[in-house]
Amino acid sequence: MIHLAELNENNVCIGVKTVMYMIDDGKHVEISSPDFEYYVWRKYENGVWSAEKFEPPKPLVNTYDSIEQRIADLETAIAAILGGAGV
Amino acid sequence: MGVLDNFAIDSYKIDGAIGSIESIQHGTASIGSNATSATININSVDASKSIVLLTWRSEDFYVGDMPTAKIISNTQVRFDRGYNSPNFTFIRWTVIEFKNVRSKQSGEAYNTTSGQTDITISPVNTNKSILVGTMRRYSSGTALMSAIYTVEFYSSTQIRFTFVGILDTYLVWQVVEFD
Repeated sequence: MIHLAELNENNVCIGVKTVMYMIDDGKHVEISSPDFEYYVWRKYENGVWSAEKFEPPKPLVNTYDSIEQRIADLETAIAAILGGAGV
Repeated sequence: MGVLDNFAIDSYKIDGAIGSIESIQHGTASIGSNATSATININSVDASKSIVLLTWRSEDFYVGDMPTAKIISNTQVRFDRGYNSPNFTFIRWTVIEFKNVRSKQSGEAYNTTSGQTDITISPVNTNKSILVGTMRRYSSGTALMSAIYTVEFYSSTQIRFTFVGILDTYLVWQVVEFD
């Protein structure tokens, strides 16, 4: 078994895995242990892992809740309009 | 992150009665308010032949309360959740140690695509393999659809997680192939 880090298009680690063989797709490099917390967001350049982590910014809001809330608000408004029209 | 070892464990050693199972342990764990992970101690297993399963609930419900599970050593299991929620996440877990294991593969990945992620593994015979996947997301939302997912063998060299949206999502998986 070998341990691999998976890299994104910027050579930043986005995952680790323990598998049977090397995955030769240009997106995996061998690592000494499958320590996700250590490797994730580090950049692999010239055979060296960066000290800095390049974590993408976290979203500030939950997109789906926001959309759901907007739909609910619209449905409420439509119901009010239709209800008003029927009086 | 603290080590929580004061929870009950029911442990069973199987003496050949159940074909490919060496041992089973059950137990409880929790991720506390504002925490994002917990590590528990278990009775020693061969981690290269074992999987961890879980069920969970939280006091209230945030999508971010949903935990992932991974065996991090022969004697420890780690649970993570995506959001430092004020809720407790309560977990019931089972560790199964198998005999006749041809290979065990495992990993953890950050999702970079909306709705679906394929993860490449070494080839396995999917007719002789078990796949376990768990997912956690960074979200204080309460939309149930954001906490629903499936995991499957997409091919002999790929497993597929399917879910809704592109919230910050982490996928933890285990594949055991039998002889």
